[in-house]
Amino acid sequence: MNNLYKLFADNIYFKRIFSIRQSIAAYSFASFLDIIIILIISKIFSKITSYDFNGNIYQYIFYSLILIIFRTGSVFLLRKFSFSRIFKKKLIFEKIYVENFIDSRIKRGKQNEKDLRIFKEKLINSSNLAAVNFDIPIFSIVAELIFSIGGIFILLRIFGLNLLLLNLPVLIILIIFSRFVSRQLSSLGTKILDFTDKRINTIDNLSEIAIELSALKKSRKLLDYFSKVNKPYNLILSQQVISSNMMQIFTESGAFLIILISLVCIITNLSETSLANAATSLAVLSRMVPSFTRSISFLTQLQFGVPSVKRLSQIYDY
Amino acid sequence: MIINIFGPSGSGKTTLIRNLLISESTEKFFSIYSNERSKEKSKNIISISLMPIPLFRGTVAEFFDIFSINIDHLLTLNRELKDLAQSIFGKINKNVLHEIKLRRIETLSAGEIRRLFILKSILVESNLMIIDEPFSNSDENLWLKIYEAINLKENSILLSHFSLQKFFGSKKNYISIHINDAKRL
Repeated sequence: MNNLYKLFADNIYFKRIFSIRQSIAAYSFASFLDIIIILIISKIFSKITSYDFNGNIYQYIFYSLILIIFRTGSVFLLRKFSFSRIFKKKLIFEKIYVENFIDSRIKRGKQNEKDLRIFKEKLINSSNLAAVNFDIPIFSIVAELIFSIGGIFILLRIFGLNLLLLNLPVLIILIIFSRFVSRQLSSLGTKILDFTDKRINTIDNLSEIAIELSALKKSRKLLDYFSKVNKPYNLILSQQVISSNMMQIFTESGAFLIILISLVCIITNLSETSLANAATSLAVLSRMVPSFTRSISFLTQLQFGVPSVKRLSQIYDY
Repeated sequence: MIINIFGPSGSGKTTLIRNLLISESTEKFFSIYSNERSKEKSKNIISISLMPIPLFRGTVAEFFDIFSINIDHLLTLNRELKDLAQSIFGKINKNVLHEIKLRRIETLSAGEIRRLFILKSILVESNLMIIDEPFSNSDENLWLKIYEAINLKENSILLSHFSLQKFFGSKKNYISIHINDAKRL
């Protein structure tokens, strides 16, 4: 038990996830609320589509509208809270990096220059990347998975295991593809940190000696010097956007296939379900499938933020 | 020809030069004192090294390359420039050249960096050179070496807090002007 605790306490990723627990809780609660409201709305759909319905339909439509408005407002507020907490945390972390940097200056000796470059990189780049590509994907994954798993249970209850088995090949292909893109993003994440280091240094040098080259009317060499770092840096950024976009397109196609298979199930009455159940399943599917595919996308995006979290966790070993 | 503008710290020497550079009238200013004809604007290629010293973080090879200076020329410098270069890097020969190329500038002392920027300003192609406080951060025994190296350049403006005359005696190749007189122009 102690070893397990030590493993969690020493792990930089768990520590970071623990530090954003409030955001995770709020975002997950938003998802939980979402699925509960969708279930209530589905029940209303079931009622008004049943053959023996004889109530006031306008009253049910009014209930549904109230629930939709409540869902939109509450989910927005909870998510707003999650995001603001992340950036509040980022602010605190950045203050700690600066404090740590100042405190360690006198003790670092020859390491000063390297520390200075890493320090600038941490504040300018890693700190942002870790928030956008690690913290946000983490709580999004947790929340979206809560929704997906809840949705899967509802669908399994309606359609049985058949639907899951029919969609399994699509899910497997999505996971294999996601692994491939994840690896690529992880390597790009490490490279972008190195090049940001170099880029900051180049920009510093450029600004320091620009006046001398301006008087000499010799800018070409300085431009070459800047391009030598700036070109690969932008190439990595473009590769990252392409990879993320590729994953997004693929998950969207996956979502289409899952919905298509589910629709075929409903139309062909493969699982012998009622019209009311079909309405429920459509309501769940319309929200669950994007949620599931988004989780895979977020998992992939996470790989780009992992090297930044690793770098931010580096402390000076004096 | 060296025009030495001197005056105490904070008297506005660097500001004067910066203003001349902004208004592109540095060569005109130089020609008034040196009685030389002002060159065309398009030819105004000025090699400057102002204070404070720029913080360049990189290797000596990178630094020379940015200024289009062939670092191998360090092996073929004349006596004055060789003395100046050796006051920065120590003894220079073929065996240590590679080491010098890879040396990071931020590891040099403040005086060595100052002299490196002076050396760069001399080696780079220009028709006017401006050096701000060339003797700062350097021991007095190096001042003559710095002066001799600067003197190799045809046209120079040298800013210092003392008159060159005070240290090097009266020589024909420089004019010392107090900053207040220079400002009056």
